[in-house]
Amino acid sequence: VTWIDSVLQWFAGGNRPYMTLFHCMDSDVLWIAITVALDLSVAVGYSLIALHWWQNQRGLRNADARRAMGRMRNIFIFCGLCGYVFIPIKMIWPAWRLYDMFMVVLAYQTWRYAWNARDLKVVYRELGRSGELEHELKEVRTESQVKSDFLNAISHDLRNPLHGMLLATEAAAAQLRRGRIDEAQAILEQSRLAAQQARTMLDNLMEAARGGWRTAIAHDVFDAVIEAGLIAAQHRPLAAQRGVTLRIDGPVALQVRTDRWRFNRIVGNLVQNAVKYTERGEIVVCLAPEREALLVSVDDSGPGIAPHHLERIFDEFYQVGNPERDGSKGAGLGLAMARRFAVQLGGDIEVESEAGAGTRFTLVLPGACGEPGPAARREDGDGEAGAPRPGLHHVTAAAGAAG
Amino acid sequence: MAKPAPRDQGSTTSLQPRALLVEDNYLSASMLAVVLEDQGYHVDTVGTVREATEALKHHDFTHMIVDLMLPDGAGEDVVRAARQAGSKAKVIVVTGVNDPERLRKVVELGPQVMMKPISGEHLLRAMGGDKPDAA
Repeated sequence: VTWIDSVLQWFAGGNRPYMTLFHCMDSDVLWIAITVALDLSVAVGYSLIALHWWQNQRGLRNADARRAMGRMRNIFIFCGLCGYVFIPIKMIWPAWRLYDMFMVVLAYQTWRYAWNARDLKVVYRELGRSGELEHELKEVRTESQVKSDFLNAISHDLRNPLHGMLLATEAAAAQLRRGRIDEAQAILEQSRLAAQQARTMLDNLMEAARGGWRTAIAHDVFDAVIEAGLIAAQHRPLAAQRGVTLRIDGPVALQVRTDRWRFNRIVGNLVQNAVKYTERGEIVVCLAPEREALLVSVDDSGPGIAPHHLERIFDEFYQVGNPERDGSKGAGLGLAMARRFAVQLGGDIEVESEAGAGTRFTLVLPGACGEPGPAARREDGDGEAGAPRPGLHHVTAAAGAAG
Repeated sequence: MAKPAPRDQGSTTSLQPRALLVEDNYLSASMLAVVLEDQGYHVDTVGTVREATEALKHHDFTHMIVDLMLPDGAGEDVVRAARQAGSKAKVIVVTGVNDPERLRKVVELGPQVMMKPISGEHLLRAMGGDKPDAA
């Protein structure tokens, strides 16, 4: 059929000779220009899409979204490669003009894709966000579980001293009825201890409610030695009552950068714990910088902790037995909270204990000693910096003398 | 004036009700023992499942008061041990556990469950009100 022949010939450049080197027709300048322009535009379109992917897909936090985007990218690359199948076809049938017509469609689609990819950004962002939200939701769920477990535990723990007190009033009444004043007095004393235990639990509960779930971590700059001195001063009277000395060991001053409130709670709880369990000897709070970390150890000469209890002492919800079942020794929440705070600060609490010889709790706060010194401290005046030193020195001296 | 209950641990007459108190909290256990003894009960106090099982082997109890959270196991084990030993004791579980599922299972075992804190008066009423003193 002659008209088909002439059409095919027109697509291939008419009767112009085919130039194998350039894969085009001799001096068919218009069509060469069109081809080059289309090739370039497709290449630029591809680059834009590639760049877009590079920028957005990488930043996606959600793994599923990232995988989905990766798959789309692969399909796209595959399609691109398929486009180049035209090249060998051209060699067999150099339908140059026909090829350009396909290129028009390809260039149009590429650019349309590149243009719409901007809208895809929104999708990317939403996908990433849904990942974040999922994570947040999980955190909130855990937190609420922790809270309800905590409330359950504290209500369980509070029942015991209350139960004891209730029975104690009746027991005391019974003894008084029989004229046993001394027995009644002993019972009332027990009851008083139970009341104190309940109060400690409530204090801990209040503390947990106030700060246990506080998420914002402050970066206060302060002197850990002064802070530890203040904490020791608070606990020294009770320790002295039992004939236990409480002292601070370490450098004269140690500038640290961490959450002051949490630091206070952690060290306070460790010291309180040591004072509670130590009947004689001494308690040493030792501060030491180790590379960029701050180590605070609290050593006591108490009865030590049996190995099988050691792994459970940080248990949040159940008091690990004080072996002699002494109710006055609190609820067992202090250590749990201390560890929780330590973990929030990116650190941890380690414990070593030898039965009969004592226990050492070591708080490790990585990065707390990262600041090189007083010069850096001044630069760090970000409003949250520690209280003026001279004043505190006075307080420490006074408190130390009092203790 | 009620006559003083015999407090001598060794001499229990067959008339005197004997209660096994399984409770690891020292204060609760000692105070409840005082209250029960005041009412004429002979009270044996133990703090662990093992001690309770041992006590069940050697004595007949008319009453058992059992806590659920014990250092070496669960109060449920004590209740089961009592059943196995053929004990006819009236069992009352006194606990601070507030897990309804667990409490339901305890009730299925037979004993009456009472929540801490509970007064001695309530507990005595639950134990049957048979005050040997009043006799």
